[in-house]
Amino acid sequence: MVNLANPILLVVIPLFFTFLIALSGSFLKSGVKYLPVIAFALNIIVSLALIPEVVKNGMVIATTAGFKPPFAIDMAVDKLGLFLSLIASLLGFVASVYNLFYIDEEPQEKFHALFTLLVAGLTWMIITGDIFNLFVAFEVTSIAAFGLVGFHRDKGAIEAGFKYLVMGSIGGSFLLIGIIMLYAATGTLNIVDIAQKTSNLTFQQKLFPFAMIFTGLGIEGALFPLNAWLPDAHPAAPSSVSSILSGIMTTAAIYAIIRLTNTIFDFNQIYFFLMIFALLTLIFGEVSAFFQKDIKRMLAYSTIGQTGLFFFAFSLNTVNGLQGAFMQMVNHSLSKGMLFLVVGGMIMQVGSRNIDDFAGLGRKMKVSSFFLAIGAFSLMGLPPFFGFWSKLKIIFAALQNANAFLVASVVIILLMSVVEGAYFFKLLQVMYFGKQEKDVAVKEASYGMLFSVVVLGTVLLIISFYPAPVINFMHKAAAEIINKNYITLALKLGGL
Amino acid sequence: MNILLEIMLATPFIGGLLAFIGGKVHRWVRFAVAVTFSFLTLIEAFVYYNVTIKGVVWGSLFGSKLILQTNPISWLFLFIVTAMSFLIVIFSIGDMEEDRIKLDSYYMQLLFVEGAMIGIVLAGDLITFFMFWEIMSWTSYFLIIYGGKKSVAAGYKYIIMSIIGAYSMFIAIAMLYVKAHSLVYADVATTLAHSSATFVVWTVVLLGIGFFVKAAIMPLHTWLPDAHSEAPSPVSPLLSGVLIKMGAYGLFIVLYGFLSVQLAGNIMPSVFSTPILLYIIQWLAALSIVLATFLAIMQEDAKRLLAYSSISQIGYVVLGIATGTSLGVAGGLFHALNHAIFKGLLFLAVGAVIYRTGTRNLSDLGGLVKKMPYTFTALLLGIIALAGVPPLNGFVSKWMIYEALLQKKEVFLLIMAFIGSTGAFLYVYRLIHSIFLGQLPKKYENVKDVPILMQVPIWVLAVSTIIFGIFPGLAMNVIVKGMKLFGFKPIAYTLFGFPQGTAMGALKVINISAVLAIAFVAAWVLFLILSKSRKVSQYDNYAAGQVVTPELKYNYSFGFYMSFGRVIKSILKLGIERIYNYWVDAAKIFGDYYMRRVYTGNLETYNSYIVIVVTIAAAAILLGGKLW
Repeated sequence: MVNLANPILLVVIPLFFTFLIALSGSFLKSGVKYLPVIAFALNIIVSLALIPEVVKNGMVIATTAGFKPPFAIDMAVDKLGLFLSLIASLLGFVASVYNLFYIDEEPQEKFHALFTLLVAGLTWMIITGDIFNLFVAFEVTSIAAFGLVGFHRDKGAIEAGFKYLVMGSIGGSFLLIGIIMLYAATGTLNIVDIAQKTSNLTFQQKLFPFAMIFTGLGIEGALFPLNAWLPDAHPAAPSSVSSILSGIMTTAAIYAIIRLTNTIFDFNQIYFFLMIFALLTLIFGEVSAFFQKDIKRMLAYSTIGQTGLFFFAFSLNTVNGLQGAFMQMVNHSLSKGMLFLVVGGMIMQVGSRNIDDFAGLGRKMKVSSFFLAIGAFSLMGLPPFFGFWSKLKIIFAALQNANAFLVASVVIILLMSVVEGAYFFKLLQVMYFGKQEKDVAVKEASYGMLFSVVVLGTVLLIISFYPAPVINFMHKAAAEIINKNYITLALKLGGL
Repeated sequence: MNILLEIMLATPFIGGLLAFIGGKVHRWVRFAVAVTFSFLTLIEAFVYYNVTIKGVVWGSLFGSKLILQTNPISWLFLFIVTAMSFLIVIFSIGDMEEDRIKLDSYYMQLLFVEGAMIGIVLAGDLITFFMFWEIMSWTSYFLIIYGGKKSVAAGYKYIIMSIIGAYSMFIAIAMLYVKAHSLVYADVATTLAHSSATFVVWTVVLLGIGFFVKAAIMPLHTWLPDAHSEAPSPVSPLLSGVLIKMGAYGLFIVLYGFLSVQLAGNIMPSVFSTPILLYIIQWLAALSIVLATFLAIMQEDAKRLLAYSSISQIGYVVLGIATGTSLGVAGGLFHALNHAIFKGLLFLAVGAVIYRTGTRNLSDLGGLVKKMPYTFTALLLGIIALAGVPPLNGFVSKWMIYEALLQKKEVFLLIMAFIGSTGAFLYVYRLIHSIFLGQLPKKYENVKDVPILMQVPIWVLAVSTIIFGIFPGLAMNVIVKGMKLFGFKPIAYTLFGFPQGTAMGALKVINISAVLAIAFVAAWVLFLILSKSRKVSQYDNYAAGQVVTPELKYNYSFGFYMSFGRVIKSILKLGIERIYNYWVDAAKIFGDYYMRRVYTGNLETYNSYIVIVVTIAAAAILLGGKLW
């Protein structure tokens, strides 16, 4: 019996399947599309098997190649990493089920290989305990994403893919520079090892690599003004890919920033600066979303806004703030992931991405519209959905020890929530009460696509109505990060 | 018995879901479920008649307990919510029968709104309160936009203003949470008692904005005329009669549950022995009364007229609550109940007219009295109650508010309240005249009175106007008992009114009504004896050389109060809404302009952003992290 509770499996399984798909594509033909489903089903099982271990020990560490860290590459899963990898596996799974019915364009085997690679890279980014591995995962993710964004091969997709390619590569370079500088300063690549050695660096010595890493990850993590590729890339990509990009990729990149800032760079002076980034991201994301006519573009801008929101909560640098950030991450991953999947099905039926063409869909695609409404409500933070609890937490946390600046930020956040409400309600009323002028035969999305949507929607509803476990879990995860338990735990468990 | 609070809260939500599922089977299943569950809720509400339960913990969030509680004041609003919802469900069966497609989730939303409002009045802490407040906002939004094309825009305005109001409350709630880490009402009161005046004022103002948006107190009322008039007929009474009362309830809780008149008086200056905050609220309410009355007078649309009238009447409720004296607060609360009854009645009666004629344009209607006599009688009772004429229910509560203002010697406010009441005569007369009196248009010759299912709720309310008018003690029983819990001196009352020697002086509605009836009969007799009139047919008439035929309309129905409108022209032009629209448009243009310049779609620009960020970072490094 293999020990399933091994974080390495989370990366190895999808990587193995990636190559399997690429190799067997020529003779399995359409059969390859089932392989990602198997891969992510296995990943979910592994993630679930990890839960008891992580709850018991606080962290699970796996090393490779028979060496001990810091010389070996290691994977370290703590509470937050586990939760995010579980969500990544879940989204990967439902999106790959969705792909069975959604992707009919050739070359299919290449799409599925890249798709599996994308989610593999993201999971890798989340659970890695080694900073160079973070870069590798980042590049793997980016390469897969470049290809997938341009998958449709029309003019818009290629342009978007190219923009993303350029900006993503620049981001990767900055990340690499930052990592190299850290390596030069400390002589090690293991996160825990670096964390122990950075304490005798000066502020400036830490700030330079931080600025580089922040810029690199900020490009992927959709922070303003580094996020300009996103509004083009997310709409151009196939919807299942947008779902992953919006749902996990930004979250994973922000997660990496949170992890590195709190573990390696132990400074307090930077948070005010980050908060300004967060607020700008929030404002520009939400306001731009309001003006969009293209539904996927609107959702993409909304992703920017949401990122701003949870990045703001993180930049509060308190346990409560971080807890709010994590809750909002979960909320955003599930809701936005679901929204993109729903919208993909609708676009397939309507044949257009223009919001006005969605008129009357509420009556024709009842299930899809229902889940779209739930996702939108949760993103807006309306009760009783999960977004309400996370927004409550973030605002409560922001007003803790509030100064004038924080109060102003809260006002901005809530104003932007009003803007968010404005565009989501506009979408909902077009869908439910608009009149369809064009005479198109629209029917409900296929059962397989609905399955994915319903699974995500159900998970969202469960944590909405029964939020206590998630809230408590996130509180512990946040406390661990703020209290630097990551380092102590890793030391105890042989992460070093 | 305590567990029943949770059950009562859950009943409408479960009912809503079952009604939705039942609708898939057959529409009668849907109706049956909706009626059963709204009736069940009403029955459950009666279990708590005059019962006080301090707190049932139903959960906890972020270290603050979530609590359900009830007391007679909550019960008063609970009664309004459950009773009106039940009647409206019955009315809906008659009214909304026709378009079956659209009814899919109508009862679900209706019951959800009911459940959310029950949650608000039963909440014992601010998180529960806020949660149900938000649920109420979005569920009622879906009800409003059932009305068709125009209602979508109205609903949009409603939901946006609601969200703004809710977030204003949210900031206050978060401020309170941060201070004490508990949002249970009792703890909030303690927190406020130990806070600075600035903090208290900010809290009350921020919470108040939320409540005033819902209660449609000027200048935050602009959503109401559209939403209430464009909503489907059975939804309007729910909005006007019940939903806006939630704002009044919230205001009551904040002013007297969290604060108290003494406490407010201690930390801020007083005017007319009223803390200045309350005094300002009184003025806002009084302005609402007067301005909304003027606007109501000038309406051509029956439901819009009633909607403006709602703004004016909720002004009385808030004015009463903000007086801070036992009499005034009791009057305000009583008026909340009375307004729910007669405004519900009026909206339903107008709904009945719309059901038969398909229009709510006053100038298109007329002469329906012979065709719809029952509806006419009910509506007549409704407008008498609204105008505050004894023996119907609007009289006593308005009287109490006047009396309270008089005792405080707040003459200006009193005059404004009088103006509102007098103006009400003008618009209610307009309503009944244009719909039921005058000439019957030819196309309505075959109009019948509405089906029994629609008559029943109308008449239940019509009878209630009489019952609560003659027996104000029925309501006082609850109100006085509840107000004692909030530290008010109890006022003496009897079943028929107020005994001699109380704060108010003797008031017995029966006696007043008797005098009024005698005067009326005397006038009638005099009229019969002295009149030299003879009965003629409506068309036995002569107009400028032309013989009047049924096709020709010869009585005034458009621009009824045109000359009055000229007098108040400057007030009508005020246009608070235009100011809002101006700012919204400006923000849109500004936003669009800058968004287009940031996200240009040009890769060079985008890359330069990266360079800018790196440059800033480099500058930060060179300056040793001291960028600010």
